[in-house]
Amino acid sequence: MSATTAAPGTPGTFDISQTPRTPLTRLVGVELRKLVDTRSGRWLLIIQAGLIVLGSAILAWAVRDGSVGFFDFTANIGGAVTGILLPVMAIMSVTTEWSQRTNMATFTLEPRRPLVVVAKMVATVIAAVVSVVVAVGIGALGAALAAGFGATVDWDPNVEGLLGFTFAQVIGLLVGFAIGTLLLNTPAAIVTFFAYYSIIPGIMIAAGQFFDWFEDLRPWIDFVSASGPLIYGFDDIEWGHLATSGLLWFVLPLGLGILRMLRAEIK
Amino acid sequence: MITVEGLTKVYGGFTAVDDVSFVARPGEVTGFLGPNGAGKTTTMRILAGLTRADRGTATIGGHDYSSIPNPGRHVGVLLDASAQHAGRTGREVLTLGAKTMGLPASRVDEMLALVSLDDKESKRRIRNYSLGMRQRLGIAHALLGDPQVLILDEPANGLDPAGIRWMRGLLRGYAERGGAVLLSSHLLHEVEQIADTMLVIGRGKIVASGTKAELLTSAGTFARATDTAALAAALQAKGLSVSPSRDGLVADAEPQVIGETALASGIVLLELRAADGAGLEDLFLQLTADTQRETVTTGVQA
Repeated sequence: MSATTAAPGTPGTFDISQTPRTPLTRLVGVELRKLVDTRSGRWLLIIQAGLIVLGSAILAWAVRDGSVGFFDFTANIGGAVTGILLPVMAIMSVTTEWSQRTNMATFTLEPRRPLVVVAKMVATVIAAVVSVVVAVGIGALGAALAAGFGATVDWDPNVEGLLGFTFAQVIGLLVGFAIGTLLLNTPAAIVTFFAYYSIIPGIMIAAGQFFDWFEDLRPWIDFVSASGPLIYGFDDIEWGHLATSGLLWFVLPLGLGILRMLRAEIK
Repeated sequence: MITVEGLTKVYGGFTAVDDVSFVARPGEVTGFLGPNGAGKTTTMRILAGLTRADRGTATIGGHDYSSIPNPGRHVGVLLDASAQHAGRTGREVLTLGAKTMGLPASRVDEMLALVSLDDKESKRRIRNYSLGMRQRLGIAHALLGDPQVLILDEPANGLDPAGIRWMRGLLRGYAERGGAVLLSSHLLHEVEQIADTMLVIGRGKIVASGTKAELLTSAGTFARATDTAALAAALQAKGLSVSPSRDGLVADAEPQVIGETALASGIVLLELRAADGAGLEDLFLQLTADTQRETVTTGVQA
């Protein structure tokens, strides 16, 4: 340890011109590490893989006398698991900084708070893509297992479907991330995300049946319905609907969340 | 160095920091002393860019904290040793810090050795750390980037006497190499042991500051009489400021003046001498009297 003395010139000041700013890549690396360096983070990923393995085995057994597509494993089993757990991971990557109060250390080492948010978001998206790759791999094993049980397996990789599926997973995760950033509280954010994911679309559909004007509006504000067809590729996507509903459920909460974080006192 | 000028922070109707100004110089350990809730932590949070001030400025080495690139390389901050993820190991916390600052992994081992956390302890989860171990880890984290300035909030809290002595040595050496240290405490004896200069804060205001020697000698004269109340009245009649101290009083006057006053009023003096540092202690007790739960009984030293 050698404390450097004050720079020549004005006494009591030091020279910061030689210190480079922390690059985003380094922050992303740190945030990726934070996703897996605690038991809760690691277990979330292990449970995710375990559930996909279990579900794929069950599906392989269930279709033993019929036929099944390789992609069915990814879309139906992988998607069901990652669609729920990836947003939870994204939510917790933000909210645990508040519940564990590590935000003090995080923001003293990098005072540019929006940059930290971006680094976290990039890290969770990387984790999501890796999770999808793992899910596809397990899906392939599941398809092989089904073939072993006697099913006819269609091995068409369905590249467009996979891309759409990945995109859909990332969208779900980003909505979770935005809600987590806005609420900064794990239980509240998880409950809100599941309301968004499973309750609100139903309410909107029901409301649409009573009010014609709402039925016209609904596709523009229902992000779940707008992004739902992604799982089969990009053919059935209404890009206008995806953009406006995405603005409402991703851009708006994320923007408000970052604003809140900028004003917040970190205690 | 740390320069704070006219710093003010108001929460609703409560002024947590009220027009605070001070300087913490390189080569010195500056103690920030005050009871709980006096505004120490708020001031330090403003310095580290975590809280925004309503008025005034706080700069470190001439810069706003938020404008310092990779600030961990210039300023070491420990605001709350317990504010770490309970599920991470001590080593992992330092590794995250080192990676954020772009430091080699060897720096983590150096810091662990510096604060005497052994290999086994460093691999334990923080949930199983004692407060003293958390403080050591926090100091290691603050020193990771080899900063020129250290800001430590209650770092001695939870350390045993040997730990406090260790920290004194560590911070002394750091200051002698040209570093500036600002450390806070709500315990007078801790700050007395570690700091060269002191800032005393109460209810958001700086109420005294100076070197230890300055603060201790400005204490005035202690006097005890058969009728201390009468002596106090006589001194006050002469326009001198008098405050009760243990079984006597401390007056802001030379012993000769008090002796003459006692003689003129026919009061028998039992004791007359320079007040022994009690000035600082009394000042501090006055500050704490409102906030602490125990009643400070006159005549009993806390």
